[in-house]
Amino acid sequence: MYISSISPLEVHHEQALHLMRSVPEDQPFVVPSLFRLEVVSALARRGELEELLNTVKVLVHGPRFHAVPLSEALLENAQEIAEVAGLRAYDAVYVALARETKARLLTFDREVRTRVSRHFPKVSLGELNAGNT
Amino acid sequence: MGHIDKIMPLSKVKATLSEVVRTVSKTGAPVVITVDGQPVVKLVPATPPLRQLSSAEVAAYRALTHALVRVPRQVGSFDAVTLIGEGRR
Repeated sequence: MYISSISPLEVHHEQALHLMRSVPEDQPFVVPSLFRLEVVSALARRGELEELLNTVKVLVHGPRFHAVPLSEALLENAQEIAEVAGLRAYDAVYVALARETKARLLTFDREVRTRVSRHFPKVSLGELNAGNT
Repeated sequence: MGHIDKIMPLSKVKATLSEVVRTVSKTGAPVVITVDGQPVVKLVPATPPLRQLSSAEVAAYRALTHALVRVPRQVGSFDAVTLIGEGRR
């Protein structure tokens, strides 16, 4: 989601911008601490320049991203979610965090959205743009 | 936004531990516990409390995000879902 929002060439860019902008600018995005690693790793694997990586590192370590450590409790919750909804491990961690903090889950991953809606209807999903699925 | 650490002697913490834990958890402000007047342990929340960004922090985030637009990128479209998925293999 975040990578899409900062990458004009990413196929979901407009949709990601729409979702990111649905959160007021003075509200932090709640993310697992793993988030920073995933973002930097993905951009590095794509071969982006150091200048981009350095700026992104400053952003994701800043106050806009409220990083929650991967505690035993969070991982146990994620395990239950993965088991019930058949989600991948990393996706289950994001869902567990949304569930624990009662935050909206911002994702355009269709499979995650479908499985979360079906098995955890109380988890709120960020609304996608009309016409985009 | 930084907090000024509160300092408490161990004897007082022992007498009011539940209240101290509730306050640290709610405010995010650490408490330094002293023994014989010396700071020995700091009590901090396991997860810092969520808070609104200040206007300066919002402006800094906006400026840095805007600066990203000018940074040269790899050419070619891509799918971030696939990219992240590959990184999780």
